[in-house]
Amino acid sequence: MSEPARGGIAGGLPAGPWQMLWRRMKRNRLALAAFGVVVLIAVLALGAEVVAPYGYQDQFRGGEQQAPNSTKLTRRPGDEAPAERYFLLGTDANARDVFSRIVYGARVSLAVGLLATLVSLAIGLVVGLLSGFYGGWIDACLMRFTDTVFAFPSVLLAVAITATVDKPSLEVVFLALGLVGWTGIARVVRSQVLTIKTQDFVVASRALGARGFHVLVRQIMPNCWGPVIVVTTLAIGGNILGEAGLSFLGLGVQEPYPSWGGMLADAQERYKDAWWLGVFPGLMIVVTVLAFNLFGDGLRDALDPRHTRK
Amino acid sequence: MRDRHIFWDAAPLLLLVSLAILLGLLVVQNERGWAQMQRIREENAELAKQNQAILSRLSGSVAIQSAPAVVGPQTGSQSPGVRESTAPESGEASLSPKASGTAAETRPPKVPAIPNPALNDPHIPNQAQPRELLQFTRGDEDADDGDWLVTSIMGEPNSLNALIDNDATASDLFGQVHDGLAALCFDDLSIYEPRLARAWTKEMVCLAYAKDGKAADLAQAIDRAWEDKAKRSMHVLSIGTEAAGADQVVRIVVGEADGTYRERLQKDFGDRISMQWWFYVDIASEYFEDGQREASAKNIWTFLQENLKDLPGFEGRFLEPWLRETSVVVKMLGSEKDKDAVRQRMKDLVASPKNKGKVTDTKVAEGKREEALIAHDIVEDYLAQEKPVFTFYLNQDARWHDGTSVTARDAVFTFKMIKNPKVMAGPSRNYWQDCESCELVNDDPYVLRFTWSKPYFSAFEVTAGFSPIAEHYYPSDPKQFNEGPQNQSLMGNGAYRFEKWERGKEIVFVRNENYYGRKPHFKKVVYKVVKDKAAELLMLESGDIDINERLEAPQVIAKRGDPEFLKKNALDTVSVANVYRYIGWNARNPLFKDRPVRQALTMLIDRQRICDVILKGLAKVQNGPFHPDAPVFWKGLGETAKRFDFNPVKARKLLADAGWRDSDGDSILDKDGVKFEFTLLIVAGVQTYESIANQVKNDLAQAGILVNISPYEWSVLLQKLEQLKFDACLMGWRLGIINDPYQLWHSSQTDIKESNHCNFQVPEADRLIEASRRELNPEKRNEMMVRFQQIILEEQPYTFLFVPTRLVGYSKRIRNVKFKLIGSASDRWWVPAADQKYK
Repeated sequence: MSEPARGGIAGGLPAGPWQMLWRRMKRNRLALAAFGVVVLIAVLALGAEVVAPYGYQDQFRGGEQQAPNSTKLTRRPGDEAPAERYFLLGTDANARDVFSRIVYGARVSLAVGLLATLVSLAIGLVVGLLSGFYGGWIDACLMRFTDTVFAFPSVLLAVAITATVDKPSLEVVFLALGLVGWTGIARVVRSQVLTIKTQDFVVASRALGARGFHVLVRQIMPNCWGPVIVVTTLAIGGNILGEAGLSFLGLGVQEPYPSWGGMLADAQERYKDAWWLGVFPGLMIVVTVLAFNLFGDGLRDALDPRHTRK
Repeated sequence: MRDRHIFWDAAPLLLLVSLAILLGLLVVQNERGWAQMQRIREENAELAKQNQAILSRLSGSVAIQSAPAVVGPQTGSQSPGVRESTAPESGEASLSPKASGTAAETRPPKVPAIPNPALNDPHIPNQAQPRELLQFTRGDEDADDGDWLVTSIMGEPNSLNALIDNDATASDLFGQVHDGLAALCFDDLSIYEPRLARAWTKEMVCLAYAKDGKAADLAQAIDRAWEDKAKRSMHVLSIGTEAAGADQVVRIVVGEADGTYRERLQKDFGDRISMQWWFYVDIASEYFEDGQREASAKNIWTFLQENLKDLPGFEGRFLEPWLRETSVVVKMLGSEKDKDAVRQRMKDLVASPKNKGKVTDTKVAEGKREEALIAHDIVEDYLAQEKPVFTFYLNQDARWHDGTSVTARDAVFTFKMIKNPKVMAGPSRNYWQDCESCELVNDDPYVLRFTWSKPYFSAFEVTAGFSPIAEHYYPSDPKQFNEGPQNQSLMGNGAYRFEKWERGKEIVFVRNENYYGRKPHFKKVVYKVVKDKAAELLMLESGDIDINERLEAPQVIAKRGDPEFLKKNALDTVSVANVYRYIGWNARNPLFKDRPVRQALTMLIDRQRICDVILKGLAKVQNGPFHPDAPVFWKGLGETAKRFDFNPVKARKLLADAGWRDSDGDSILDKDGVKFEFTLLIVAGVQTYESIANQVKNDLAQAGILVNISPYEWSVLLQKLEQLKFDACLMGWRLGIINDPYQLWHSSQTDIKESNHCNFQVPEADRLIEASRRELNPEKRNEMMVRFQQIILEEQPYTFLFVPTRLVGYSKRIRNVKFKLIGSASDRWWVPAADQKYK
């Protein structure tokens, strides 16, 4: 993110917003580390084929429910002869490598986290901008509607949405989470718009004859980004957690494709004799959500104007 | 400057969007398995080389028995083949009627018989059976009353009306509050115990046409020729002439009809009696295009008539088109000699070059279907008429739960509903198809008579298991009967009364204190709805439920060595459940239309591993449509079954021969531009099913077949099957031990909501099914069923997977828990007063 910023506003000019952001972020080690983790998980997810030693649904017959860090003589269907194989995080009851499944599972978690957040962002942005900018009855209507959606417990609402289709899938999950989680974003955007629209440059631009839509899109929207990015980052963590929850209830991505929540659900029947089935996917959820939250917090600190005076 | 700013502002968002879309695409692509296929493809190339070597060594012979390297052992189940038990099992649709049996179990010691109270009932004539009731040690003679039985069900049925819902849970719940006319004795499966009926008579009325119109003479001759002892052993009750045709028709009435009298009659008097037989002529399907079915059948009929009419005793007719869509049925009357004459005449017709392409022999038809226009087969013969008649004398103390008496009128109403084609009772109806009437005798509301139009080997089992429903409770309008609100509750006459059904929570029954029979010990029976297997086990451990009849194999293995669990609970894992699981290939789907393809699919799936690894040895590989302990099972079928053992090499060859090749290099087989990809429906939330589906996916992927696993909730899954909207399904059947394959395998049962959901249609199998229903001699019937099973094995309409061992865990509070194939006799279970915890 910093690359284009530097290239764009080079040569003696005062630092642009992204450059300032980067400078502030550099000081916040925790947020930086969290960012590193996020990048790492993104790399895992994108490069699953390379990172994972085996396919997510390859069965290593003879190696059912192996403990972590073990080697076992197993035969994959189609293998001519059994081979010694190493399982870093063990195998599940279907003789599939847990590590590989976790790596592929990262794909679902990130994809759903990001896509759901994008859906929320799209809805929240439109609602917030319109509501804050036009005010009056539009504002009243949109905000009461937002309040209504906000009043429902979000997970329950997502469960209800996924339960209406008779076959849950990735698309359904991120749409459900996205349709549930936009209210926070809408409120933040609205408050931003309310403050920005009274500022001098907006008034000036109106005085120059700019039309409402132009002002909204070209003047106000770009200035909302800071807080929006923070809310969005935090929302990603929330949505990853939401996805895990839905998958745990069997409403997420379906077997045999792995998702962390689904792996946890499978593990609960065997937690006594195979602890590794639950612990590792659980840890991944914790780490990922924590990373997004810490990173989001870091961003907030960096973007918060009050912090500059400290 | 400003423009540049906007671009840079949008940059992170763009990055985010592209990352998200990329990830989403990757997941979707992965989900379809392309990535794995790519990898498998490389491995396959390697394996193909080796296969090539093996195949060339075997010099392309089709009858490759096995490729030694890949075949699993034939059998190897640890569970002993004790023949016992059946109880609620969600996950299978049930066959109704469910209880009925063959006598092969060891009989427990009998306590002296007690006189039948029915003998003092003035309504009941003396010849009504049984004269005395056998008494058995039940194990609850000094039992304490009280306490509840709390058990669990996995899924709730769509309704509680078991006549229209072919679901094992629905029929179990229905059975709690409804009694049958008689019930199979738990201690001795050869005996029926009185329930709603106190006594009954079994008769088979046989009408035989005497030649030369000397019926009275013939009857006397038979009566004289058969000594009393022989008459008794053949259960002959009377020999005389039929009132309506005294000069021509001999009337013989027998009690237990097992066909021996028929053989004896044929042996002793065959030359004086005319026999009747059925004679099927199959018409190849080419005849049926462009709506020409009726016309073509008539053409063939005319052709046959011209050629057969000069034969003695000729009489012919068409059966209803729904019953025999591809056949003309000729009904003949005559002796064995006449039959031979017809057979010879048909052979001549087949041999005659004049009729080439018009008539052909059954055997020829097998191989050259496209040339065969007509195939013929004489399949069944019997006396001119044999009608089983059963009379039941109802217990006048029996009351519906609202206090009104149970009468024969309720039974007649029930019968009418089952027979009404607008009532969705398809699965039960086909067991009753040959029963022509159910009526009151002399208008006595407590005497009920069933008359069957044809002999049917389990006619009595079906009739005795008949549960009347209350005429004043159920509406007579078929639409309301199917969908009305009364189906959400139950009003019966049994030992328990329906109390309430809280959807998603529990179904409660309370003891019927006015029950006419022996009262059970529990005051309440509660079925809790538990959709999660892990939770179900935890509930058993914490005492929230008293019995869990659907443990998973890994749970049993874990609990076997858990002293804490065993202190309070007991495990029953000995008996084999009367259930088998299978993968059904919907033959309506062009993918599964070809027999070699279905055979290959079976050979690609390592069923032994499913039993040994996924089910931890608590299951047996299944190879046919009957229970493995049923008498007909293995007779001469071992070799046929072995051919479909795990054998990927041969399977691939079969697929290649059928034209399935990977021509576009994406490592998935294709043929005429269609990929070999299908969806496998499974029940959601059951790990065993998921594991099996995963293995199947892995196994089939090796041959380049892409399986998409699709878990559905039980009721949704059932609807999809009933609507026939599926490619393949992983399901189970819970069987009666009647061994009548009509419901599942007859070609007339392929409609929506019927049970032949994979569209299995083989004319020879149809004929065997129909003929076996008429055959009263168990040995002859078994021969037919062995042949039938051979056809099923050859056709592989299902890939039969396994018969699971019954896995039951129950609280040690409950005494006297026993399981057998027909059920669990929970009316004998009890809890000692000291251990009772519910008031």
